Amino acid sequence: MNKDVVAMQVGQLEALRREIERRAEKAPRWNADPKDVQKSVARLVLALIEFLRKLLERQAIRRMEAGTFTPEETEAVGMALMRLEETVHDLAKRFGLKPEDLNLDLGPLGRLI
Amino acid sequence: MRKPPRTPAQEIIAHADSSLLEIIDLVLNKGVTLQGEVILGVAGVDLIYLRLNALLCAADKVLPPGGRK
Amino acid sequence: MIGLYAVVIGAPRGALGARGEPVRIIIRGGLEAVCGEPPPPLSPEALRAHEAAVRRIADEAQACLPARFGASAANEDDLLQALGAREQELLAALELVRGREQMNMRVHGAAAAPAPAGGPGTRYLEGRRRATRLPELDPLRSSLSAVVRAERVEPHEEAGLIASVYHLIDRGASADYRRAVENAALGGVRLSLSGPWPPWSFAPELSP
Repeated sequence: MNKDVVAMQVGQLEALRREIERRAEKAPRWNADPKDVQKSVARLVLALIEFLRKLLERQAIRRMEAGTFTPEETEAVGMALMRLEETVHDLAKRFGLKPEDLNLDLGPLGRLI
Repeated sequence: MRKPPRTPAQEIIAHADSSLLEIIDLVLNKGVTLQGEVILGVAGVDLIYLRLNALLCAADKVLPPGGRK
Repeated sequence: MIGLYAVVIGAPRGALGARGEPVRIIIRGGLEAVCGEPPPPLSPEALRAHEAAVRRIADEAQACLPARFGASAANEDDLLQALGAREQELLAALELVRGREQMNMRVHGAAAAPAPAGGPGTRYLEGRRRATRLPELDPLRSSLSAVVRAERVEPHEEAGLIASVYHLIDRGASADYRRAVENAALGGVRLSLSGPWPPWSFAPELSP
């Protein structure tokens, strides 16, 4: 029997707890801060780009696994996606936004807090 | 920079035992949501409402698989 | 305001909601929305009560898509409109989860370095593939292929916690699933399991 399958140990539980904590919504409403309209608009725009980037990445991985890319295409698409990820994260940082701020999935908690 | 205070959800997560953590992962992050929306406003006034799940969906659900080749 | 517990096929009459209230079933085409009181304020008790109510509903229904805690609509018309906008998506998801439940698997360990082959773009894409598909679990997937009907992978950023993997299995197959996981020969990763649960991770999502 594989002894690796155990109930979660304390250290593993704490790692899971931190992961879930990080994802708990922090600033659910997108209302533009009167002092920083630019930041709110940037947040929405970058969140939409990030959504599209993840979709593109998923499609690219699918095609890579299906073998329908040539090696040149894999390299070109990989470079483009890598640059896109860097660009989005750089722009986000410039507006003081963290990766979790770019999450579009607000869920109903946005109304409860 | 000082860390921002925890939200109520984060407070609960910080003190949850393992069974509650499993439940939280499911009931707060997964499942059908009715509110897939963004409300953009200025100076405390809501101006624009986007219903996201009517605007966007995963492309593989609408486009045929594969590509040009 | 109406709280939503789940979207199902074959809703149980007489089920009780999170606060013991009798549920109301609102129908839209092939969809049955199991509804009850508006969501209460966030608390550990409210979260547990919502999960328990969904579990009671899932145990009786033919197919069940749990609703997130707090899912609600101002009134019946708004609820029907929100569901109607996604009717095809929800019906397809209900067919996927019909007669099924899910197991949660946490994958602990250090993420293996990707094999450095090809140029920077290729290595980047291969790294993203490893993170989102977890190919190191492939030996396990072979032995699970008789039991697992669908999979969702959630990569993580925490040191030591690589990913969460959610597996959709036929109801009643959890003992077979656990046995297969216990007998799998996987070096370098530790797995922890919980479940079975109603199929929370197989509701249609907004994000990729």
